[in-house]
Amino acid sequence: MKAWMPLLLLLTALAAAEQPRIPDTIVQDQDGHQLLFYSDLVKGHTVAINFIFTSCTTICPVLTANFRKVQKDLGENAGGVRLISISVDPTTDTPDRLKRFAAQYQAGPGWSLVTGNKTEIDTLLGALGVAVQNKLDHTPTVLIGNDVSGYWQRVSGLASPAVILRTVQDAAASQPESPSAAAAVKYFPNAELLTQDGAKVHFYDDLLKGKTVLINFMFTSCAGVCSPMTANLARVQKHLGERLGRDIVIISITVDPVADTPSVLKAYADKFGAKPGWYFLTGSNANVDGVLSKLGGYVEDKNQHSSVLIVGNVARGGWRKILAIGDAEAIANVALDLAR
Amino acid sequence: MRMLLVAALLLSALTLDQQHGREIYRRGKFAGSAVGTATIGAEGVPLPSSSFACATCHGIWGEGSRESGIEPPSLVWKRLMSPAVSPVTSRRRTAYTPETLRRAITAGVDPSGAHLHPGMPRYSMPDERLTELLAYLERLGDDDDTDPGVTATSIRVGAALPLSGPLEPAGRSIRETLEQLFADASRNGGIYGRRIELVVEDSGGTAAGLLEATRRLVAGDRVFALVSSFETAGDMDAGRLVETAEIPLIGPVALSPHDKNLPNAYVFYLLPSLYDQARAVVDFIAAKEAPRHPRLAVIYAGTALDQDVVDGLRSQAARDGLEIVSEQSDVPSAVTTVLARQANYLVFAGDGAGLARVGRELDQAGNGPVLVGFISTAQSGVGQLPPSVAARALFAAPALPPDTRQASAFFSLLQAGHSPRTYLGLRTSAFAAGSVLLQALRSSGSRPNRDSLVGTLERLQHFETGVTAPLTFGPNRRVGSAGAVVLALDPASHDFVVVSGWIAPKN
Ligand code: HEC
Repeated sequence: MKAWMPLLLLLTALAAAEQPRIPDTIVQDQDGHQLLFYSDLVKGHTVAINFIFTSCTTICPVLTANFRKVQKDLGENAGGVRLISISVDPTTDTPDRLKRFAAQYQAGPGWSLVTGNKTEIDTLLGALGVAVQNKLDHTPTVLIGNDVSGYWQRVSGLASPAVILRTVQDAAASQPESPSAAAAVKYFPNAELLTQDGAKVHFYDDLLKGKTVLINFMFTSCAGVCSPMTANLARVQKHLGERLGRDIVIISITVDPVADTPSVLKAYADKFGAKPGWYFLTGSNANVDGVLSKLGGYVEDKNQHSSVLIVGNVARGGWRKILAIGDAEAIANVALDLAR
Repeated sequence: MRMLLVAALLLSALTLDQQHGREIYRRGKFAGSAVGTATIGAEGVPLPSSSFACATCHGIWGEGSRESGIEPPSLVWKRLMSPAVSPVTSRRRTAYTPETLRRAITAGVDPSGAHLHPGMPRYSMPDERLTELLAYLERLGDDDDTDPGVTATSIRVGAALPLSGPLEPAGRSIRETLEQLFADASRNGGIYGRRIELVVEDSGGTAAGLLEATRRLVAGDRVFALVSSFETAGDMDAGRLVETAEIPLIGPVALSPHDKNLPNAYVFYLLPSLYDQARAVVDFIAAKEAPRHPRLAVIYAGTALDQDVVDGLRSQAARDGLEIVSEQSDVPSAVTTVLARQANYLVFAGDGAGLARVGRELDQAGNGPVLVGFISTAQSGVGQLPPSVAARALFAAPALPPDTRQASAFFSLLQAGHSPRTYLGLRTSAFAAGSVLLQALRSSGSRPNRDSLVGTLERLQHFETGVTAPLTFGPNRRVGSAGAVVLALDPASHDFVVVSGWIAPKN
């Protein structure tokens, strides 16, 4: 999760440095849907996040009733504001339990109650600044923010719903300090890298410029998710058809540039039947790390690299992060949509 | 005079009104539905009172609680009827009267009209219900405010067992074992001085009879908990009944379901599901044959339980890297197909008659795959297997057979009661269920209540009954063990021999 800097942050010219770095923890909501915490819940939205657990007796009923009131006052669909309740007891709180809890407090659309793997949720809570030692002592905090403007506030969960509501409205109305999304293109690195054919390319000028791109991170000796991920991209490649190499490119960047020389990458690419328009990139350590960290793919330990796929239209903007092992046709459709 | 009155009050059981009041206090409900609404804050959204039961904040016996800095006070009558200081706001208040108490509950103000902390909801409910709630508050936590089935000297538990019909001997052996176990515990001091009484209702051994017997036990709140009820395979209706009545049922003599979702919160199964037994079998075969990769086949009959076997095989075969070369329902050509695919092991998921028939077909074909069956569903077919098939066959069992286990407590009980060594499987099930109940009661403290019994059971970890695998439950876990032991048949004596230790399936 380290250095998983949300791409949108870069694109909005690093609007708010003190914005909490919200990780893309894989969570499950009350309907059992898998979501990426940042990309699917927070990104581009105004959010109010509280912290609960379903077997909690005294405080959570009150926190949740307050959220319910805020939801009501925000009106239909919570006015586009996302309400999020994160379980601080993810081991016990299955999606099913969250669903019943949600029903108890009449949580409506736009309100996600999420749980997940204990270690990962703990990391998420840490990143949000509400690490919990003992769930019975968990702080009744509500974290309110606007991902676009970078406005973030914390209020007590026991504050009256009116206070929470006002803060949410402030957050929703806040403006980014520097709204120059287009100018942010210059934040794309243009370092020199090598393709699997040994060709020297400039990352932005030669590969990204004017294209719709799908970018993932991998390394060839990886025993975990890389093979399924690459195999899945091979399926995505099929769905992209002749668009691949024309206006859409797939870019797989190694997080292990020392071992993954162009010839190693070539063999790997061939194994998965990569066609022209799918680039496997390596290069000098410094150049590769530079690109990775700009894209949020830099990791200290290569085994921790992310299995997220960044899909975006470089010319027009519009970026999505999705799981690289998700349904291949759906992934291809995201790219085709953005390329339109 | 007044003293006498108070003493008389304390010595009486709860009146009907007070019992209704207790349901409102504990669950926010009357006759199973929310009594009204609860609202947090002056302009909050009214939510069902069942989402804000008094007991969750003020404690089952009105002892108060403390969580994340909010401290709902004790609601013991004596405290309410005296001046006191709020532990939350440190505000002093005078004594409540019944009128100001009603106002506190409905308007959130103390006797002097000052607002209570917003953590105390405002309730709206019919006057009658509020009167019942107040009637109960007057008794809350006193010595006679005990859960149904509990008195100062006893705890009554129930079981629905076949005491008539063809299964009568089975029911009798379960009852006998439970009675011996509870008598033994009562002789040794009981549970905080309370003896355990068993109430048995006759189920006649049928699904409808079980439902009726369970209904009789549940109705009128005669028992505190249920134990060892005897279910016919796959029947869940009685389980639903106890869930609605919120009465824990420990160790039904039944096949445990495979809980993909949140299980019925009130039924605690002891023995592994067929799903987990099948997974353990695959691990056994994989380990036995390593480094070879034997080919598996499965023939299954139509029930949901048989499907559990197939699911377990699939999931564990994928994990262990074994191939299932044939997966078929129990059709006439099934064995021929299995032979054509050259399977090394044929797992049969179905009843005893099916097992015996598949065994005969394998016998005619000669040197075919090793047949694997499940004691839980097909024990009756084991004796009918042709010798050539029986000699190589393997069987998964949900617990070790009695003679090989650390079952000294069980056997000494049997001996002390001069019980015959018949129906050992049922007797061990009953023994295990009764032992779990006793253990959970001991850890629930001197004021047994059903909620804390469920909580204690959920915290039970690696509990040794001596006659089952160690049992563990959890907030989302209602089947106490997972795994199997593998048996073979001794060709000479036709007795089972144990060929594995307890196998907990690898995750
Ligand atoms: C969500 C938690 C919660 C629930 C549920 C709850 N209470 Fe309370 N209650 C509190 C808190 C906190 C206080 C302390 C308020 C204060 O001292 O200002 C309180 C105070 C009270 C008081 C006043 C006590 C005093 O000494 O002044 C009464 C009476 C009371 N509750 C009754 C009830 C009843 C009856 C119910 C159920 C119908 C109930 N409460 C449900 C949290 C709760």
